[in-house]
Amino acid sequence: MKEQWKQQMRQKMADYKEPAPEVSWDEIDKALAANKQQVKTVAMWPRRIAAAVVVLVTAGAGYYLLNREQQDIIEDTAETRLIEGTITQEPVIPQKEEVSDLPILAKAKYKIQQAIEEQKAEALSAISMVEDSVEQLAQVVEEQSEVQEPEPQETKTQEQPRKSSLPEAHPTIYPSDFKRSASSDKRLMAKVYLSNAMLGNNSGNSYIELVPLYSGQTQMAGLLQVSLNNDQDTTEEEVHQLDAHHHLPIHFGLVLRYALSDRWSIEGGLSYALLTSDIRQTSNIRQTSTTSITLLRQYDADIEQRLTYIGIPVNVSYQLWGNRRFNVYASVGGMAEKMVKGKRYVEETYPMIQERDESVSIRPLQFSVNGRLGAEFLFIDWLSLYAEPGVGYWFDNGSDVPTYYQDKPFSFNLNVGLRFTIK
Amino acid sequence: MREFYSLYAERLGAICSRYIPDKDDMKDVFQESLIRIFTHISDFSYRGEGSLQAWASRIVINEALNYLKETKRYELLLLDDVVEETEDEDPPIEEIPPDEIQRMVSQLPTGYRTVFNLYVFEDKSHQEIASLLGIKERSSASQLSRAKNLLAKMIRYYNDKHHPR
Repeated sequence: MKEQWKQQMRQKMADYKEPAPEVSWDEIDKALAANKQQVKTVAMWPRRIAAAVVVLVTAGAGYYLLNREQQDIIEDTAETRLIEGTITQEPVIPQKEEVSDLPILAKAKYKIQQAIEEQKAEALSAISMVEDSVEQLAQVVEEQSEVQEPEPQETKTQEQPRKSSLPEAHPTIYPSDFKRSASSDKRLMAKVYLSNAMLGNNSGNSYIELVPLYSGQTQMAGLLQVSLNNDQDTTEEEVHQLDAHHHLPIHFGLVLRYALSDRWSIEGGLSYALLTSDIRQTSNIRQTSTTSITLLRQYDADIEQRLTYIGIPVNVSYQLWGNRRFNVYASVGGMAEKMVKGKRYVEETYPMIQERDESVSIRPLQFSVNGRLGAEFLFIDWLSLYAEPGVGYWFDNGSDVPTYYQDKPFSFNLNVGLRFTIK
Repeated sequence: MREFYSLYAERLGAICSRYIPDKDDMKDVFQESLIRIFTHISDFSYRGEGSLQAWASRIVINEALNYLKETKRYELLLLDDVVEETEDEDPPIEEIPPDEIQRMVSQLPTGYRTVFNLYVFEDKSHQEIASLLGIKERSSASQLSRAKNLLAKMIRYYNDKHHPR
């Protein structure tokens, strides 16, 4: 199949519509109500988004106004800031008043209001949609925030600030250099604020994002940038929430024992352990600024993690009881382990089902101390099979990878293996 | 939500029925998709024109694939893996209206159709399709080539009928 044909096919069908099936809104409402219990979200964002959307719309509408009546507009940065600050803090639509008598601030607001009414009837319908969804989300969040309990013990949250890779990544622009940046960067900084809002766009110009926020007129662009920039000084970070279930590790050992006396002996050797974990990961990519946290995306994944460790144990043991075939003993010791092979099988479950394999690396050594009670069966007098239940303490090696050792540093474990004895 | 429905339902419905032609099944899947969309709208990140539709489409397709997976529909046709010779020429589709194409695609057997949709409309590679559907890459390729052959026959038939040379 040729690429061209594929493209042609895709284009042909791109705008294809069919009469949509009737859906049962009752059932949808019911499902949404049930889902409210499960919604996980950042409690503060919906209202912040509402505010941001209003600011955005106000600013966008303001542009129209400004575009038409530039000479009226604020001449210097100080006043610009004043305006911007006020709009941000009071996104409420102002009341109509006599324009001529008003201070410049109210005048701007009035004009913005006017612009919204005149220019953006369509946008308003889109806004109402946003508000609907925001309200709904806010409601959900309110209920949720009462219900939400602390995370279970095994949950571990890791925050990894990361460099934004979004194509719309916004440069940080400070008020002091707004003029320069206004002429050099014309990207629509407002775009990201439409995230989470149901502001789809497929045709026509009934959507806010089609408003060209600035187009090179430095002053006006400066105003808009600054006012938006108030919220735009943001960082994007990926937050992983991990629910890990770790399986009990079993250490398989090959050790050499040297008998110091009838009862005392020391031993050293090699130990192998496979640490397996089932991890449920919810990754939120969110954008934070001084005033808001915006949830940009979410990925859910089920992860199977398999880490192979090779360790060198050193123990001192004391025989408690024994005959020709059996020994029971107590031992204490330490172990240095190195993770030699780490694999993860990741199954993304949301938004798309995708599978992939990843490798995991943990560079630092894992040290531990342990005390255990052992029993061994002697095949011949220098070779035995042993099993040692015990408790150990695994020192934090600073790795981010969730492991049994990290999650349960002080824990029960089991060693089994073969022992060679030198007398 | 109603606004969303009135804006997007027709397109999303068309996509959904491209995967699941059966009207009743499609309706169920479509409804589930809407619920999924509304409950996960907070995860949506605006990325420019058309991004909401693209996002919503992905959810619809995902739901449809899950449905097909659950009902094991697409496995029925993986009887033999012999890849037939692909036709040299892609059949001309300029003259064929979209609804006719949709009808033709919906007539393809489920396995063929699913792979064809993912390959052509979602631009997935065979590797991706294989992992999405839990089949072998080779199966994906053979399903596609069969789908294509079958579709080519339908297209030729249509063209002959409507625009006889």
